[in-house]
Amino acid sequence: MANKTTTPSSSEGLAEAEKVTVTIDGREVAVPRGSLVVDAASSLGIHIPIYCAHPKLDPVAVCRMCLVRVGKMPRLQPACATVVSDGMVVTTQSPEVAKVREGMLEFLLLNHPLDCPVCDRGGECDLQDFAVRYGPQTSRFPITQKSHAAKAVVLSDKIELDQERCILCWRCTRYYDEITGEKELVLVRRGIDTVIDSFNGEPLTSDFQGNLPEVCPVGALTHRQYRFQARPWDLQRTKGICPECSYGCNINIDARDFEIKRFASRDNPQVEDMWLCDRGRYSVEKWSHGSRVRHPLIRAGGEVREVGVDEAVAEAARQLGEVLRLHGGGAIGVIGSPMLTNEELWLLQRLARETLDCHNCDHQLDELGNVSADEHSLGIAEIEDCETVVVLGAEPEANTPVLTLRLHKAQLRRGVEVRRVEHDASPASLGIKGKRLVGVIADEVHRAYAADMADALASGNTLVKRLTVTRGVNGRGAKDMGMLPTQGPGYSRVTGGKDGRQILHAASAGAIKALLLVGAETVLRGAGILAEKALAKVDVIIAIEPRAGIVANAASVVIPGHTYFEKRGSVTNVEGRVQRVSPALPPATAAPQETRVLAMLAAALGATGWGTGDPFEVNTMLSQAIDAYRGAGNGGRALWKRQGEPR
Amino acid sequence: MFKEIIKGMAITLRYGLSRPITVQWPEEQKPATPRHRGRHILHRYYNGLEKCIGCELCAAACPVGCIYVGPAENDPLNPVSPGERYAKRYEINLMRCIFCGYCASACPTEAITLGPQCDFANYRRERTVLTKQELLEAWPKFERSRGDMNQRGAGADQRSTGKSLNPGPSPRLAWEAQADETHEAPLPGHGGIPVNVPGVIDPSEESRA
Amino acid sequence: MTLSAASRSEIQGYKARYPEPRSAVLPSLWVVQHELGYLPVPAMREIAGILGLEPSEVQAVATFYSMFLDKPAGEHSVVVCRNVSCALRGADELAAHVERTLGCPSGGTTSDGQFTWESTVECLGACGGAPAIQVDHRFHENVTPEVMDAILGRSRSQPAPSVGGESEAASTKQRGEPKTAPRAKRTSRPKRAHIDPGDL
Repeated sequence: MANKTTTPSSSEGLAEAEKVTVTIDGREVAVPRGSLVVDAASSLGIHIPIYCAHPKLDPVAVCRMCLVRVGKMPRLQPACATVVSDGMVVTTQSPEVAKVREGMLEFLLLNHPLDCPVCDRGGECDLQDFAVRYGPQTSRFPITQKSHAAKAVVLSDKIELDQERCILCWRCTRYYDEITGEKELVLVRRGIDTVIDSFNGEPLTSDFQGNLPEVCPVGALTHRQYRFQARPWDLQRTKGICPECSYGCNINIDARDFEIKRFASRDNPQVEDMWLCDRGRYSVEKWSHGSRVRHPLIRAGGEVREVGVDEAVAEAARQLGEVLRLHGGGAIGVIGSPMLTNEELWLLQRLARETLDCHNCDHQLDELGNVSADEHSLGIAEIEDCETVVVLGAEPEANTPVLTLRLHKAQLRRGVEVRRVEHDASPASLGIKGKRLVGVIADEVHRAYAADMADALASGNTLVKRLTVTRGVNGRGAKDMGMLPTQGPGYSRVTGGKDGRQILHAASAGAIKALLLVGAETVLRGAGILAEKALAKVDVIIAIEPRAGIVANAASVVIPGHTYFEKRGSVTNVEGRVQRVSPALPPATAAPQETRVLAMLAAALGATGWGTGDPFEVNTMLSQAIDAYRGAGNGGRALWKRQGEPR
Repeated sequence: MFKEIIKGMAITLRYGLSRPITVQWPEEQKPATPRHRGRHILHRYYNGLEKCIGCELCAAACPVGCIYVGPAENDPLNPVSPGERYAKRYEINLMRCIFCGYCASACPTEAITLGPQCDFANYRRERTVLTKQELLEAWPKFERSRGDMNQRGAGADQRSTGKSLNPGPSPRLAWEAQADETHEAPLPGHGGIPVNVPGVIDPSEESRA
Repeated sequence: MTLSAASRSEIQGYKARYPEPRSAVLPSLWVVQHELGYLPVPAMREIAGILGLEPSEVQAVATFYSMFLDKPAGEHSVVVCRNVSCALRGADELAAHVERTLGCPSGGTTSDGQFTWESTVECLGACGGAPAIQVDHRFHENVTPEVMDAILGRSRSQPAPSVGGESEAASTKQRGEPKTAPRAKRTSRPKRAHIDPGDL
């Protein structure tokens, strides 16, 4: 564990770590003391084939694939478990090493079934790749004498195991040991009979099973959801952010034929550390189904008319303008959604506050009073630097499951004390005293408890940082952008308005005459009967909505929206990390993206200086308006000044 | 000069009087050569199971990208092809196809070959994309005879073995037939294990004893 | 609960003995096998519960060692070594003889529940007296089919001797020396019983 160098640490000592010089294949390289030979080789661009070693797991050296000649050692050494020393001479490309690799591959392929054509891993399989690159061209053993094991063993509703294909690298068992700590998979029996299995063949119950096929170097563990969906070379890969929660896990979106087939992890050590939860990973199917709004519609007098975007925007502006003229901005309610990008949210609140003179804008239903940037001062990777982390209630880990893995890692590797307590636990009863850095994690509904806890714990030299788990992929961004009834962009003070639920109450009571809803279908569904009453009562409903549903059915003007995977922009995760998203699918509509529609709407309402509504242009404008976003770029954290410090 | 004209006209006359080599197609058909690369055929095993396992290697080998394969998982009780995987969709765009035969060479199960048919002229563009149903051999063969359409075409003779592959039962079916013994070593005669393996004592004998 | 209170408390004792509860898996499995004759799934779950481990970890250990049984075995265990030395001295014929005599293949149990026999073990370490067998964990060397028949016949008439069983554990407790690791004896090689074919 001590010689792991793969995890970048925020401590400064590592940067000045002592370097040692090693010679690999005649080339010299200086690497930090304690590095492994395999890492030193990869820094030179020298590839050493390995199955058992994994950058996030401790070395075990069981696959014997990475054997290399090290100095004058009598036998070949495993590169994945040998620590470099000064003046070490390593040879990875000699007839001796090549012969061992060839022998090892012949051994691994001895009982490996020849079902690459039907294997989901075929095309991205280490065994295939290394066999082609380093392996023997033919086998000396007849195919009829292969030993057989169970195929297509259903480990759970998510994972399928092919015991024949398994090369016993232990990666899955070590994943369960080191990353989740659940130990659901073990090696059963021994010798030729060794297989991977769960206890008594019982189904796996972990929430993080989807990572198993990803750590598996061969096709032994495969996704049931992705089973026989596509070949790796069919897939179009787009970098994206997981849509399920606000943790902001980096993913690769693999699509085929305009349908998302799977989410694969895209390692970002600062966020998800390459591990995804099953809720996020297997949410794929949601995005390929459901009926869509494809054309702008105007609903008048019981008739629905398909129109062009220009006409729909003009009609929307006319209807909103009329309500504004007759009843004022207080009679308009604007509801967005935490699924919108920062650019859309910023334009939406700007449209509400500047053009419509309306302060009733929210991105969700609950009352969230006095939100501040302080509540997400703790970074995800910073959890490992804390001495103690207090988690209030079960919601933070239920809402953002990958947080559990980070807490486990912090506990296991850094000895962080993790305290899981009730929301209203008294700070004194925890007995946390004299710590340097304490983290307090809560969900956004129980923010007040976290604030009290943080205040009580902060004393003397103890620095308390908070992390508040928001709901929806861009719940944090919506707050940063000021899509709140009481706070504007950058948590600035503004004239207070109604929150989401109050808007709906006022609408059903007749006090609010017009609603502007952008992607609000899911938010309104959460309000149940109240939303239906409000939608039935209000005459002027302008909706920009991707999916058919209660909003699109009730709106007087519907402009087709784009789903999360069809648009360009940026989203902000729980810790304030601003990450870009780009379209993984072609849009289901010819209507322009929401930012452009909002800019058109503002122009039609007589506003000037809005530009074209291009997402990049909007991004530039919002970074100028909100200080913290200026330095965030793509993938950086929006760093806010702490409360009390001069702005 | 006069002599040359007579000479030329003699050739014309000679050919004018000999039997024409032109074939009155489509009324008259010429037999295709054994390795003729015409329209593709998807083959079946003798028991009606499709040979295609949906592995997409044909699509990967295709230099023009005219093949689309949409694989799916076999229902073990009602399999379409032997094994776990089959092609739910299989489409070939004949407008793009250059009839190179790489798909037949790439196929691990000899499922696709290029047949004798070469007349695909059509009035409708979408008819030039052949679906799996159109490509597949008729089954049972007498039900919907397409004459020599069903003969083995180019690609079939590129194999060294020449033996027809025995599909056997679906391996998954065989496994599930073992009911509660899924975690035991496979029994001879199941899951592709030959029955007569010297030195293997059948442990199932013991349970019967 | 599958296990008796005595076994449970014995496992508790092992848990207290080692710094890592994982270390107590092996002796705990022996306790269960001595009580029940084999290792049923609920018992493994119970061991895991007592030791605070995942059941899968217990199963991994239990399946690794071939001497732990996952199904009920016969009264007597017969093990025929067929490694090189024994094979050269006629172990294959001996194994075939046992199979004929007992009427079940290697790994099987006789229909009367008297014998479970196997010939798939690794070298028993008695090459000097090949072919060697182990009956109820006791060694017999230079075994011929006739000697085999005599041993089987003698065993059939009497119950299996307990091997380092409860009596030893009980005596340990009485002496009050729990730290001397008395279980080491159990896993160490049993005493050899040298049997002269002429005596039979």
